[in-house]
Amino acid sequence: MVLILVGLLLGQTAVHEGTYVPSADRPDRQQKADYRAYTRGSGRSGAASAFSLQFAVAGGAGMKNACDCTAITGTRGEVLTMTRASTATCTKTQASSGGGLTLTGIANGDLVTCSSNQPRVEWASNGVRGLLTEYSATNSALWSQAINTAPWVDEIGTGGTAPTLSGADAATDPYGNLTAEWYTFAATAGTQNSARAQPSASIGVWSAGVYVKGQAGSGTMDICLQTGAGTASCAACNYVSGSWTRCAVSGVTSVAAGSVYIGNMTAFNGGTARAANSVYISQVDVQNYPYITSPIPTTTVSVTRAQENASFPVVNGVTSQGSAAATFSPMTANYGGSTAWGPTLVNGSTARFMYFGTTMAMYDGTNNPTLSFGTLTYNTPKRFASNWFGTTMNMYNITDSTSFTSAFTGTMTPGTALDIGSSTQMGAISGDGITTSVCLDSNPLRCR
Amino acid sequence: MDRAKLSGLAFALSTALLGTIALTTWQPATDAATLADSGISPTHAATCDVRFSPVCIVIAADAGIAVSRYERITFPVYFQTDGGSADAVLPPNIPVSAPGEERCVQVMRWGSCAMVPCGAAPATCALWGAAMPFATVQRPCVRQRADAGLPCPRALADGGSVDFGDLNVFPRSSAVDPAQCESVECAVFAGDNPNTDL
Repeated sequence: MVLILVGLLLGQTAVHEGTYVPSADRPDRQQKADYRAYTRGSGRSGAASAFSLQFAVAGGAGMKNACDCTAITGTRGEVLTMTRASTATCTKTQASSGGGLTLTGIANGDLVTCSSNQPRVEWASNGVRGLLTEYSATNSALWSQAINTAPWVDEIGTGGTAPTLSGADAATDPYGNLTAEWYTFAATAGTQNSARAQPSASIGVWSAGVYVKGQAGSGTMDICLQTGAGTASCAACNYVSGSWTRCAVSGVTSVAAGSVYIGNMTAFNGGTARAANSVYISQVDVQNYPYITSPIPTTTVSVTRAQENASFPVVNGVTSQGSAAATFSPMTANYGGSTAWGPTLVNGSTARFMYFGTTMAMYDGTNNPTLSFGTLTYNTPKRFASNWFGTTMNMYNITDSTSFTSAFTGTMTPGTALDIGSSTQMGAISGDGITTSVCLDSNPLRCR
Repeated sequence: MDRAKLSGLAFALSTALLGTIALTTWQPATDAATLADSGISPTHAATCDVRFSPVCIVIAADAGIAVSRYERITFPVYFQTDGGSADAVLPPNIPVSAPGEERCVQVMRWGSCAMVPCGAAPATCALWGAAMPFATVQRPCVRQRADAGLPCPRALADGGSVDFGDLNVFPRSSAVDPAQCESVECAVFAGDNPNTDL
């Protein structure tokens, strides 16, 4: 209702389908107050939108079903161009189970391989279908879906019992194929291990992940990455029998030829004893990244998922004034100060309506204000907005109710495309996560 | 060279992280002489793992350079940093692919490229205007030769060695005897077949 009234006041007749309707939080009120002050001072009234784009909004107009891997558009049919030089994995887990970034409740066949240049539509946890974008990553674990195959070997620590292959290709995996191995890892205590291992990582920061399902019940095992001779960094892996759980250990500084370990790892996990675990194992990733990204299947060689870019054709009509907004579901709560994340809305190298590095930022070629994006929570949507008019640029962290105002040159110079999620037009800004509810409009009050 | 001027001479191909630097790669839209007139000439030799498109494998072969789909190559670039961002302009004669087609030479990961100043690699930088402005270098990984009957064990940290498995790829530096192994690249793009594309 609030938005409809504002629209009528500005001479607009309809609310676009799926337009984000804000609660009465401070940035929205501030946004209106900022613009009303400007229109009163200049004698202008709000004009009808000369440009309006909405994408990945609630209701799903222009979007396809999750992981359809087919072309998607804005709500009015605007064509989104995807560029990625490799295939990539999409997760179609429903929002009710956590959506595409979930680590639990993953069903057989939830993982889908999209071909090169195909978009990956995934559910955000708030029930909106969005676009998953990721930076390039490489999985160095060979035979990622066959840990019963060389170069995988047993790891028993001192006095441990080797794991038992209870069945090769014994169960349907998260990709829907009959490839999951059934392993029984023996109970461990003291200096014992009972696991499968492979030297995969080199010196640097790595993360590892594995899909696990209990063969007959739930339990706890380990996933570890080697940090030195006889040492590893481990994460407890709590699995259930009814669905797949993706367990991960992240941000580990590995050693040269550092091994990944899957199983019971009491000797390396700080001494926590483990009961025997009878589990199905699928898709192991050892990625050169501070956090685990979407899975990358391998066989005899490491495999790289190429960086991807998503863009709409060049945008005009938002040069002198406009607004932008997007909601972002992060792939990690800690991007480690990386400059490569976030929902980017960039229309050329000097028309950055919203982009993210260590902070949220805007740029008109001269002014480069920033605003903290605050605390991030894994797989929890967070909304940001901005607008520009007259001599003012404003940034709004809608979720945290913070804002920042800066000078504006009066011109956002159009570029060659509107990049969403990542950008070919500027530095390595790349959204590792799901972007939804994107709005760009020549009306400074439209996108909130 | 500011980005606005660069945009008039080249088009942006991709972005990447080079360490902590945000790198934009540019494909020239003009020849070496015009670039030189605008102050763009090679500054560095880059050594990167790349994927050649099938079309460009043929083009390279016609030029007398045999390349596989995946290679490690060295090539000249104009490289300029500006704070936390950088621009890399590729040599002007790398063939341009049609929209939607696979890029002629796709760098696997700019962050793993080695960059040295032209003063330390004059031969590479001299390739700037060449028809095929790159040279292949030693591939950094190995695997057992498919049909030579030779072992290709991997050395272990404890002094022993292990059979790493048929066709399984590992770093050349950890091969007991690299001469007995087949030299290959260390990774392929997702979707490619290592048995036929490496």
